[in-house]
Amino acid sequence: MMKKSRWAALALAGILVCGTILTGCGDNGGNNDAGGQNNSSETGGAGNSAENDGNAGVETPDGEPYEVVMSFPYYGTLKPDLQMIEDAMNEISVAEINVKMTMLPLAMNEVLTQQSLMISSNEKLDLMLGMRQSGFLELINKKMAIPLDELFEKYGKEIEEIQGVSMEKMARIRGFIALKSACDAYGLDYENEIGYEEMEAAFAKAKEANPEGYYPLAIAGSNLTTFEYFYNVDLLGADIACGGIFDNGHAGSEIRNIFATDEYMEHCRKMHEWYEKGYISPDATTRSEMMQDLIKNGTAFIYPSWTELDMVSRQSRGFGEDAVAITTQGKSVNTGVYQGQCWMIPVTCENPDAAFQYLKLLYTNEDMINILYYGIEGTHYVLTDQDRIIQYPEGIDGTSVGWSNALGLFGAIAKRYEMVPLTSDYFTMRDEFNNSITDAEKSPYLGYAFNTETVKTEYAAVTDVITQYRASLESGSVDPEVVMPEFLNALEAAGINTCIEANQKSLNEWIEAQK
Amino acid sequence: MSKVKVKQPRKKIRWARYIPIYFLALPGMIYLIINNYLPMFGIVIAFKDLDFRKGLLKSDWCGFENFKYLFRSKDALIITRNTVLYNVVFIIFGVILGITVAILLNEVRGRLKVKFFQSVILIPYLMSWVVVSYLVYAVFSAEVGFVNNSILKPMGSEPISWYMEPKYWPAILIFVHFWKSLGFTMVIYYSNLIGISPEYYEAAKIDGATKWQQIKSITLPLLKPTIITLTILNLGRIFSSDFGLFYQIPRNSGVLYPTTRTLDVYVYNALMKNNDFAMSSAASVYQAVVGFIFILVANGIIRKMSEENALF
Amino acid sequence: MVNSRDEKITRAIATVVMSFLAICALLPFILLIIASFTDNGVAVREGYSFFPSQFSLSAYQYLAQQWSMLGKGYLMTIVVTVLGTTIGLTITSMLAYALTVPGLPGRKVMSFMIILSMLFHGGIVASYYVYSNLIHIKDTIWALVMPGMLMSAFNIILMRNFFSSSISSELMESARIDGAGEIKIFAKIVIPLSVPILATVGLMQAVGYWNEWTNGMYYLTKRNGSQYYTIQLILNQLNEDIQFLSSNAAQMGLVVDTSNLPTTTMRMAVAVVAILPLLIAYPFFQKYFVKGITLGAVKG
Repeated sequence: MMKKSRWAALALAGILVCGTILTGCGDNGGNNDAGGQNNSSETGGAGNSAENDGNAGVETPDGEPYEVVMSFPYYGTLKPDLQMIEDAMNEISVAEINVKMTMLPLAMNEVLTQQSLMISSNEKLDLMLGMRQSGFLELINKKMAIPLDELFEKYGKEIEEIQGVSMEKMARIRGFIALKSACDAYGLDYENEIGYEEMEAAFAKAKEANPEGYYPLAIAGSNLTTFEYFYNVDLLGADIACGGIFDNGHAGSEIRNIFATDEYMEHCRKMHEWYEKGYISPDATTRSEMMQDLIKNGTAFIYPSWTELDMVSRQSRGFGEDAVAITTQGKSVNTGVYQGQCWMIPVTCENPDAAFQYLKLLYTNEDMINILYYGIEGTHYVLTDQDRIIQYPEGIDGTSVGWSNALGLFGAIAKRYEMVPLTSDYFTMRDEFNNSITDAEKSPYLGYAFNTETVKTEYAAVTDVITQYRASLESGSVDPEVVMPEFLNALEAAGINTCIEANQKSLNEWIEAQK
Repeated sequence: MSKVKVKQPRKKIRWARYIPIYFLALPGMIYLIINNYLPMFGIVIAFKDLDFRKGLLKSDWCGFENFKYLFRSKDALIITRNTVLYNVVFIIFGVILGITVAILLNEVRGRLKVKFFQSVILIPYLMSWVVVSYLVYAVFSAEVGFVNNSILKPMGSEPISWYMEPKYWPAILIFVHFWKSLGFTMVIYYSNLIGISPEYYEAAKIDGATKWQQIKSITLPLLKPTIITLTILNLGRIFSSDFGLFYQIPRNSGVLYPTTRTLDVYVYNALMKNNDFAMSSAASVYQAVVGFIFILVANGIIRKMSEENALF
Repeated sequence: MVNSRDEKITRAIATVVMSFLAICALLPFILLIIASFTDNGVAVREGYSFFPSQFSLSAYQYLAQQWSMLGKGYLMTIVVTVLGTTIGLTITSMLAYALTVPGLPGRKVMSFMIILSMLFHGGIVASYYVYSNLIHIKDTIWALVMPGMLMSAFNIILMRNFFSSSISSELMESARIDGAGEIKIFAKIVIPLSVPILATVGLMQAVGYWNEWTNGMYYLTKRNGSQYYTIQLILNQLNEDIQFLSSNAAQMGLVVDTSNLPTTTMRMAVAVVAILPLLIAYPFFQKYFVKGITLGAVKG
């Protein structure tokens, strides 16, 4: 049972915060004040602070509502009805906890830079966002975020209610998404878990049918990856530059240099073979279109992606025709999954209590979350006859609607409505999916994250080497027999072993502390 | 500088004449102080172990820790070589091509023709690197590129994966650099050129000087201050590189690194995952110090040769 | 007669070489324009070409839809460019002139400070602190005009060189003897004689302002500063979004609705639209690149 509650705590911590992470890495380069909170995060997370009433509201000297400034990432164009959304949400939050919120829209690629600059200049910011791909670890390692353990303990009363469903999907499945018509035509099996051979057979047929200008597997960009769509590797909350553990972390506690494994070599050989046969575009690493666009425009039919539940139906809408998921591996809960997008409280926040209470409200209040996601009922969406399924009002579509939360990054997702074409079945499916996660599918190291600050020189140099070689190897554009030894040498020279050793040491300490 | 003060005793300075000049200089100097000198406290970040709880300036010192990654790469030498060599080529050919084109433009007769050439040659300078990278891609893409499809294929040659072949890239990058910057460099020399009084040339013609003699003995000497200035200033950027040119144009293709990677690209890639202010600050301090040394040396040499052309 | 043959040959060579350069510069630009009229599917499948198999106006239809945003961006770009170039040119030329006055105490210190400012800078963190906390220009139009743009060491030195090499010192000496003050000399003699360099530096500054977008990214928040968004900022943010999404969306497990994002041909169209006004404005600068100004003025 002990294990069960710890997992819940960690899941939550992953979404809400960084407290656990700070304690997770322990080894903070001599500046270790996180160690003391190691246990508090466990208990706090498990939510046994029964006496404390978290709903007391926030007191300010003049009784006026406290203002919380909150990051709001977006891409493309920002919708115009921001103020309306804010007012509607403030009406609820002022009544509930005497806090009002001001949204700070940030272009998504700028989130980390802007937040860091604001913190360094001591500008008002109360809730910020850490995204796994951009700044999650950075914000913690540079001590821009405060540990939330104490706040958890203080206000964590209702945490148990939302445990386990704070994320829409508690596990992810990596695989491929493909056009259904093409799969049928080229005989690609989308009902069972498949591997290289099955895909290769289908690619051969596809290539035969379209010899010119058609490369069945769409991959693109100078930092593309393919390996992770065939193998579940737990990167231990850091980057592949610091090694990883196969089998979603179950292959022992020894951290390995993934690039030096036989599996990786075999994979690159396979990709090179596919490349030579024309299954992968010779321009894969230099294309700047999105993979989905390549498929839409008829030069490919399958691309690597997360594939669980709603992903396929969402993508079908994007393609304008049916898509299917191609599975290569089971679902997984690795340490990175819960670092996808996390709320954090910056060190410069004047009133972390208020910020945290606001966060809690976002995670517990159904109206708050639906306003933030979809806007105001009647104006931005209408209910359908299906339970908790909504659609755009007459005459309004995704382009003309006055509000959208394109990245969908916030709050109590379990309480959120869903938009057609999803049906009410989705909620059941999702619950089943989340409840079906077995311990074997969860990484044993959930909650651990490696603090790369301790090896920042090596980490930077290794990152650079990876940028140089990885995409060309994983896209098959180069012959691994020639390039792999060069790659491994360069990694070693840059200090990958130092990174892995430090990661290992820190992981061992973490494991020790969990006992 | 102290030498100057000794030479000119304070009493003899004609303050009445100089005060209005200081007024002219004032807005510019104030701007410089606010915009450039106030933020210079940021340089200390390069030597700090950043901790935002303590604040930027109160973070612990960490010596040269943040600089180490610059030298950690096995390819540090290649990276430095690329950066410096490209700059040397750009500086030397920049002067030669810039002046040549400026002189040629100066020889073109006919107002409309002059205007047309002037405008057109500047177009590339107005395009952003992202757009240029699309255009270069349109030419060199393996799959859909112009060279492979419209030149090599009709000739019956094998297509070339340009973005996989480092050996072609020095030529491509140098061409793209000059294609984009020539109009700009040309305008600088041209503006000096048209300031030269035609009387000089008239006199030379009467003496029977050929065009080449006129260029050698009138044009070039008069352009000398500009040439020297531009060269010294460019030497200050010897360790820096145009990120757009070296990152966007080769599309960050790792295979091309041996010939395309410069210091700025390395820094960008190394810090991509670990967006570290201190480490990127260290890189720019490193570039500035090297540039500063180059400028001091170059300026010193120039001062020995012809004092009036020295920058300071 | 040797001379005139010589002259003819030079002119012929000049015209040939310049024509060649003009073609080199023009062809890619034409390709860009054609690309913006290419059907996006064709562009993805076949790449850009001078003779695409299918044309499309969709990119420009998209621009027309976005016109309210782009139009404002245009206006702001023009305002910022004019404002910045005017102020910049004024303070640059005044400072550059001061540096040419012989015997001015502190002249070398100033020169040195200018060169140093070109090399060393405090980095974005420190600049951000100064702009947002000390002089409070965040979310104002000055955030686009001021940072790093108004004056560059390069321009100052270029101008200083021109002043000291192209303006005859006898002329200024005689003006001084006539009792003209320094400010009067600057305004009445130096500036009129320096039109070519003013046009050059002005052009460079204008192009700089026109193409600049990073300042807007750092110092204008979407919430309070979006009325100051320039056309390049809008264009580049779209590009950055797309780059970020195409490299991270898969790892973040997001399904990106690509129909919300502009296609590459649309981005080409925006690029064309962003360059055109500069091309139209260029002849305005051009008329100052005229020969004989120095001579005429001296005689007059």
